[in-house]
Amino acid sequence: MKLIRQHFEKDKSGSTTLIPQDKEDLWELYNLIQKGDEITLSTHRNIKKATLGSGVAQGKDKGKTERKLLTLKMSVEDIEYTPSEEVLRIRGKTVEPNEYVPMQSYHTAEVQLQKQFTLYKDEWDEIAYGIVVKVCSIEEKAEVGAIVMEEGVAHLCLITDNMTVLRNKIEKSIPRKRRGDGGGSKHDQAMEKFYQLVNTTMLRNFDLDKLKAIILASPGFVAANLLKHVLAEAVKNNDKTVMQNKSKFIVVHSSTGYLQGLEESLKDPSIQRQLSTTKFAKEASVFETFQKVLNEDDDRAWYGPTECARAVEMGAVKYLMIADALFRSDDIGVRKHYIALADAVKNNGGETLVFLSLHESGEQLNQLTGIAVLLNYPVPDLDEEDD
Amino acid sequence: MANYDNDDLADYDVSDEEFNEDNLNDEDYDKLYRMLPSLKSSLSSYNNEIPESELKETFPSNPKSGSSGSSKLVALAQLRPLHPNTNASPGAVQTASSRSLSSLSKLMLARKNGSQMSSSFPASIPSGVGVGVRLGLEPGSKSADILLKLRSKKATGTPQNDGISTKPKLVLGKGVSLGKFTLKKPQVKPVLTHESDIESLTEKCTKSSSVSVLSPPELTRIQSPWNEIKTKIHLDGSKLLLTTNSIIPIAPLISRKRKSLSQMERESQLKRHFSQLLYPLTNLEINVETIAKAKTNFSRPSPDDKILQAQNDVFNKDMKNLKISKPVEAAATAAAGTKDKHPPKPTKPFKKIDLVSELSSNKKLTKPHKSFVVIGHIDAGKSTLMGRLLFDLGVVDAKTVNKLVREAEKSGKGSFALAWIMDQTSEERSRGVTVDICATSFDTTTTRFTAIDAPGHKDFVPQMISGVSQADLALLVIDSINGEFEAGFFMDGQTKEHTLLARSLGIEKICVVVNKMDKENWSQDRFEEIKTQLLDFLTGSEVGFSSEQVDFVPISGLTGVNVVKNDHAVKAFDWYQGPTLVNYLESVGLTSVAIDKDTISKLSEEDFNLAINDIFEVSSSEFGVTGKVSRGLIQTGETVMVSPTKDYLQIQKMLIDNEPVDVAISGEIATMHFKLNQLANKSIDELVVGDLISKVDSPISSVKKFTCDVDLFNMSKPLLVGTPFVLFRNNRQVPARISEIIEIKGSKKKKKHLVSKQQALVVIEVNDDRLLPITKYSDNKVLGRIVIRREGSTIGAGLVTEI
Repeated sequence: MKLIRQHFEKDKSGSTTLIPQDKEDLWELYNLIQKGDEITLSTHRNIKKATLGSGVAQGKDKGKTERKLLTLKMSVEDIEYTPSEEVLRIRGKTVEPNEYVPMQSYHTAEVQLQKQFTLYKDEWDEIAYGIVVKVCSIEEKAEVGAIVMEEGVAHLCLITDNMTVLRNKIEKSIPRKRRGDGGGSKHDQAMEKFYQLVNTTMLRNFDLDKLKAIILASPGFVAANLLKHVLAEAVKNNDKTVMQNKSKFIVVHSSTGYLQGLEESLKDPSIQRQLSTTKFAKEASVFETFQKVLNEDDDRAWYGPTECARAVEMGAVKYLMIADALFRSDDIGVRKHYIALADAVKNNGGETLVFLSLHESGEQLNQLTGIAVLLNYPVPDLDEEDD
Repeated sequence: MANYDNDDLADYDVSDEEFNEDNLNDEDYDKLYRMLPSLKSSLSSYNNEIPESELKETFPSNPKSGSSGSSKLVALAQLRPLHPNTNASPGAVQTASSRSLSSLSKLMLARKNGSQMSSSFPASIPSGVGVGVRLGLEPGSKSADILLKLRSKKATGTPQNDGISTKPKLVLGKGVSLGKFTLKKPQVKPVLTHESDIESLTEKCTKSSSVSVLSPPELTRIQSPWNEIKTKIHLDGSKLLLTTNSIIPIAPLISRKRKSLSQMERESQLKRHFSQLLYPLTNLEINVETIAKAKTNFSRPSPDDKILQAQNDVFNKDMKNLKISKPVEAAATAAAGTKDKHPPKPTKPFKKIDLVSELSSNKKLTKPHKSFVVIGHIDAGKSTLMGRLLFDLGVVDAKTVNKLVREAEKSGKGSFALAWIMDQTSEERSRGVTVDICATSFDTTTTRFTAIDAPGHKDFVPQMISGVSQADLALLVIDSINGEFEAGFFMDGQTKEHTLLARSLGIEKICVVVNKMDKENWSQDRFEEIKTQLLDFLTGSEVGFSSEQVDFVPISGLTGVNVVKNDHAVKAFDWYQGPTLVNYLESVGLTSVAIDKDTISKLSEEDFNLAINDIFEVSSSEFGVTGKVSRGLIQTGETVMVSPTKDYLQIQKMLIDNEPVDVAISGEIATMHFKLNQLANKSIDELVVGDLISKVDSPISSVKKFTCDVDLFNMSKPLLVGTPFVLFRNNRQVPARISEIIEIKGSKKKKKHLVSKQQALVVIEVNDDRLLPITKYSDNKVLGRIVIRREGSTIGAGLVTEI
């Protein structure tokens, strides 16, 4: 993302002008833009064809519409993001009159890459401004491909700082081996076909030159065999892309071929060295610790809004884990409450981690009320009702 | 007659002519008396108390009096219910026209009865039919023909007695059919049309108008039987009067003029209920022209014949359907979840066989069948033990083994030769590790065995689980070598996990095979040491086998001592006097009982279930599946359903131990062949291991969420709501999460996480596009069990309580 201009008033209201550059930015914008904000952007709209002079079309042009590129300023009412399509849509009412579009008419705009827009907020809080600062830093972004598989099942995913996207799922039934001559041949044949299928699907979905690494994870030898197959095919077809990116493939172990095996494999030290996604790694490891402590049941790990708020009040928090979904709340009050919690933790020497719900750990935290704390010392009975 | 209400009569603009047989002309008079005796005699079989005057009325009406007909109709309609008591004396004077009207009123009553029956139809059709049968009347297709006959008789104007017996059929048939097909019950409207505006109503009620107003003489004869019927079901009738639309037009007619004290109350009731509904129709002014028109309509053949015919046809067709409709409906409701697919009818087995004799005479089936799975830590010697078993029992010939020995030595893995009998794939051989289960079957003199070799590596526990799901008992192979046993047992080895899984998946007997005893010099101390430790563990609280469920056999798989035979050549092994492994397997008692008539009838009543364990192509047009029959029995030729895909397949062929059979029963591992083109998308990739095969009408359901009781083992991390794990149901594995914790045993706090050793009632949500076919534990002890694994270790097991 590029920051073109920013202007803030003393009351924290103000505007920034930004240019989103890749789909990652769209996701950040999804977190940044909120209901009630105002946004100025160029967008297409179907306009009723009008003859010059009069406002209404006549004759054969009547009822026909024309697609026009307009610059509209609208007040945001709804915002949606589809990770699989990588599209960010904003719906709202126009707040400034336009030659073609009257005030207060509804419009849905897609935020386009490489096109600048201006966002006005009544209040730029720390989280919102933090997003702008973060997304505009020029540190390199890592995108990693991953194939989690076992015999007959493969999941192809793309992992970025912000999200894990499942691109494709392959399922094939593999007959079992049987005793007797050639008893394993049907099985071997089917596996060969399966590797072939995974290979072609991978080449179709992954841009090997762009990806930082390709993780092949499986129980047993499936992943290693796939790599063998991929390289053999590349030699056979003289595929230079694969050959040049040979070193990007990393074979790791996972206990299962289902998507959950991905998280497991990402903990592998060899992966963590290759990935610069330190943020994600940090969250994952803190969450892991949190779970371990929770298992020991020694009152140092808590979850739930009231429990966490109490723990923060006591100043006992080492790590505050919040799912980004809570910050995305439309209710300003809710949002402010969590921002205040985060600030309080910071002031007490603790750390706040925002979990991204498009990653597995964030998804899990979401299921666990969306907020959890790991304390410096045990505090029993945080969940007791007040009398 | 005295209880006529003059005001009411005035409403209908009545000319008060009375019946008088003296008014008839001579010809008619003669006719009447000529017919009377025969009429009486033929009616006496129904009701011999019919007064003579009634019968006289049945005489063909005098056309002249037509215009006043409607009012008389009304009057007589009211009289009709009172008829047995209040009817005029034989000499009563009645107009000719009233005869026709009274007959109409009787028809109305008949209709009332008919509609009564029909009104009971929606509730239960069979009972309606029952009424018909009780009355000795069959609603057959004849009725329409009869109607035609009647009409032709009317045309000739010569009533015949032989028509009488059939007429009830006509009416009942009609009543029933109307009840069935026209619940709006238009059959009563004709009465109204007669006195008001036929033209306007004909269209609405063409169905029955002709019957109600058609030839009075014939219809009158129906009256007496119907009276009888009426009295029989009178109690019901009075209720129905209040509740059924169908009789509205009659009710007020009756109530209006009926002034006998006993009926006054009822009359007012009826008025209350129906007056509003009725008046708009009945108060229409009588138009002479329209009546005349109506009359001319009657002389024409009415379209009703056709309609009645059609109704009857449909009715009869439906009646046939009705008989079988119950099972069809049941099946339909059972398959309610099948979107738009309707299950096909079950098909009959190809061969008609006597199950009892087949099951008791077929050698294959009389010999007890046992299936066992070989489990244990990696490199304990499971595959080698299997190879040894097969070799020593002569299932695998020496030539094959020699070949394998040469191959193994060539690749520097001499000791793997026996294991390669089972480890067939190139990968397994090159790596020296069993990856997948391999089932094989063999016979001894007393028993048929299915042996399943399971992989020992941690990564292949899912395959091992599918192996355990096919077995009745488990052989836990232990490496007795000093240090190896301890590694497999204490250091997070597979020995523990495998036994836990065997227990959780419902294995009833476990035999600990202490292997590699030759390497420990057949030391009894070592054997006892291992035995003590394992017995403690297996019968401890964590696993929970009882000591009767556990046995110990020392062997050496590689040398073959005490596997099939023990020739006591090894001096150091003299201390052991127990059975060899094969002897043990032959003698071990399982709960599967001998087959007798009781079990057969029990099996055939049970729902048939088979969990697919292997799917393979047989030819380009056929494919096969293999799995253990967990309940019930099935025969070749029957159609089965696959859950969750809802494919319906006919079994083309069935194999047990590679030999064709006609029937497979619970406990057998059966292979079924199906036609590929019976699958919805013609590809075996549609099916996965763990899909269920059941009969077409099976209540098996496929779910996304279900409730179960889970029992958690030792975990390093808590099980949070939302934590993904792999769920195993029998041999099916799916990714899943806990979506809700309903209750934690021994804790009142509402938590969103579970820790080690807790028991809880939870809702589990399957995290897959594919639904999970599952049953309650109470319904099927095999398919109602689940096991939970996360990050490569087994963390819990559970029983499905609700789906």
